[in-house]
Parts: sequence; structure tokens; C-alpha cells
Amino acid sequence: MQNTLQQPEFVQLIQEHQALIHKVCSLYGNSVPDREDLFQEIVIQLWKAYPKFRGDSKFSTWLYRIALNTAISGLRRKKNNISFLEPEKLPVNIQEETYDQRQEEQLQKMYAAIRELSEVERALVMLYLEDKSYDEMEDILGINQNNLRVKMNRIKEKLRKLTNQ
Amino acid sequence: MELEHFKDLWPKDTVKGQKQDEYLLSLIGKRSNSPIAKMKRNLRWELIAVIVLYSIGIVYYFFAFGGKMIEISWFMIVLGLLFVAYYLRKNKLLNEMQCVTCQVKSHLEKQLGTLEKYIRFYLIAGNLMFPVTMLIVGYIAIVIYPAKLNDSRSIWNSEALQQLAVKYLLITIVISFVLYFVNRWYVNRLYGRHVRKLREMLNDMEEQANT
Repeated sequence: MQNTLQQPEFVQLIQEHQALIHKVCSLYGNSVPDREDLFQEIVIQLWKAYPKFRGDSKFSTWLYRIALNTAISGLRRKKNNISFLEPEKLPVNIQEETYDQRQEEQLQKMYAAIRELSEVERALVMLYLEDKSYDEMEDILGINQNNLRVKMNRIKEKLRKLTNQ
Repeated sequence: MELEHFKDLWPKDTVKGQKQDEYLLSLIGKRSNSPIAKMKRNLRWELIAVIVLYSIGIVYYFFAFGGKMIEISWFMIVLGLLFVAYYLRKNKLLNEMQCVTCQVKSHLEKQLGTLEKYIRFYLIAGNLMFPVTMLIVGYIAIVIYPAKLNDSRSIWNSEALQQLAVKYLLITIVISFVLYFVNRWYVNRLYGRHVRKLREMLNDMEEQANT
């Protein structure tokens, strides 16, 4: 049984990094209930793994691994898709800003395009958007840097085509 | 729109809809709903059900009918022990299947490798269970009991019992053969999609830079 003394410390860390979990959920969840389930599952997995966290890597790296592993895992049961261009699928800060109509459309297109990528590609995009270095990406995903760079270029090209369609 | 432009608009540190401490604390006490966690819980319930039901059966046949049907108790003990071995193996594989703190690629490799072992084990255990049970039941019903209940009639001197044994064996072989295909179809239906999905993701990750 985990020490209850660890709970406040854990909750504090999750509070500090909560945005990361929300962003993973927004990229991998198909609907509001699915994203809520995914959020819960990630927190449960983080809590289960927390006693073994020794600080060998950054907390955020450790968190990304768990969040992405939980989201990507082929064994996760997903709740059905509702609609692809649901506005709430955009991370909320993006929704709240005021853009002109055209820019808003482009943002929605880009977000929809990202969701058309494979799970692995979406993970890469997420880390890229989070400004992670290729070193960190390699540490989280386990893909070597040369491969990552090539993949990233291909993804950018793919997204460009998808958003220009 | 370019991804670089989208990156500038991407929220960095906070998003709206942050959860409160109380909500996060309530999650800590919850059980995981991942399919692996559910499979582990179901397996544990299966073990408890087998232990309870088999214990009742073993004790009953041990004393009932003046101990004349004690073989059934032994048969159930053997089956119970086989189930415990089955439980231990399956539980070990389920424990190995998840390594959420590993790098994403090694987690997927681990999951795929373990799932394939799990499926093989499931198929072997599923295919052996029926013929083994039928052979033991047949041995008790056709070989042991007639001799016990009627000293003058046994499989060694009764043509009728010999014919029955042959028919019984044939039926067991035919049904086992059909069950093999049913099992393969069922396992593929249960896990086939997951295996294909995991392979697909690993191929995506392993794709070489020069391809």
C-alpha cells in the first residue's frame, strides 16, 4: 500500500504538470467522456508508478512516458468518436483566444489534420509543439534522433498537404 | 497553416479546466480501468470461483456413496492444480504486459511480445482442456466404474464397453478438432486486432530514415 504521506506531494506535482496530461488527452481522446477516462487512467497509472520514481530523469519526461504509453497502448478501450471537428477538442487556451474567422478555420483544420495522423506521429507532434529537444524526444519515445528528424519532416509535409486540401 | 505557426499558438504551461486537488485525490483511490487491469481482476475471480466450487466437489465426492466415487475427488484435485498453474502463468504474463514507465517503443515491444506469448498459452491451454477432461472422465466412467460396480463386467471382457470406449474416443477427437478451430477464431477475435495494431505502431516507429 502506498504511503498516504506521498499523496499531497503527488497531487502538487500533478497540479504543476496537469496541462501536459490535458494536452495528451485532447490529442488522443475521441470524445469528452473518452478524454475524461483517459485523464483518470493516466493519473491512476502515474500514482501506481510514483513510488518507483527516483528522479533519474526529469519529472516531465517520466510523466510524458506514462501519459503517452497509456494513451497509445493498443489495449486501451476507446469510447466512440463523436465528431471530428468538435470545437472542444482544441486545447482550451487556443479556443479562448479571439482570431479572425479565417485563422480560426485554419486552426480547426490543423487540429483535425493532427488527429488524422497515426498515434506515433501524434506523439511526435505533441512533443514538438511542447518544444522538446530531439534528445528528450528520444528519451521519451525510444526512436533514434536521425529517424526522429526524418519523421518530423515527413509529418510537417503531411500536415501541410492535409491542411491545404 | 504550417506546424510552426500552430506551435506559436499552442498553450505552453496551463490549459483551462484544471482539476482541483480534491478531484485528483479521489482518483488516487480508484481502480484502473485498463483492459489489462480488468483481465487481472477477472482472472482473480476465476481462481476464487474454482477454489470454492472445486473444494465443495472434492469434499463431497470424498465422502459420498461410502467413498466409492473418490476417484472424482482426485480428478478434481488434479484439474484444480492444473488451473492454479494456468492462473500463475497467465497472471505472470499480464504483469509483464505493462511497463508504463518504459520508453514508448520498448513498452510497445514488450506488450506485443507478451501478448503473443499470452495468446499461444491461451490457445494451448484451451485446446488441451477438452480432450484431457474427456479422457479422464471416460477413464473413470468406462474403465473404473463398471469394474467397481459389477465385478463380472469390465472393459477387458465386455464387448459393449469396448465399443462404447471407441465411440467415446472418436467423439472426443472430432469435437477436439472442431474446438481447435473455434478457439483460434475466438482468440483472433479477442486479440487479433490489438496484435495487428501494436505491430503497425512498431513498424511506424522502426521505419528507417532512408525508406
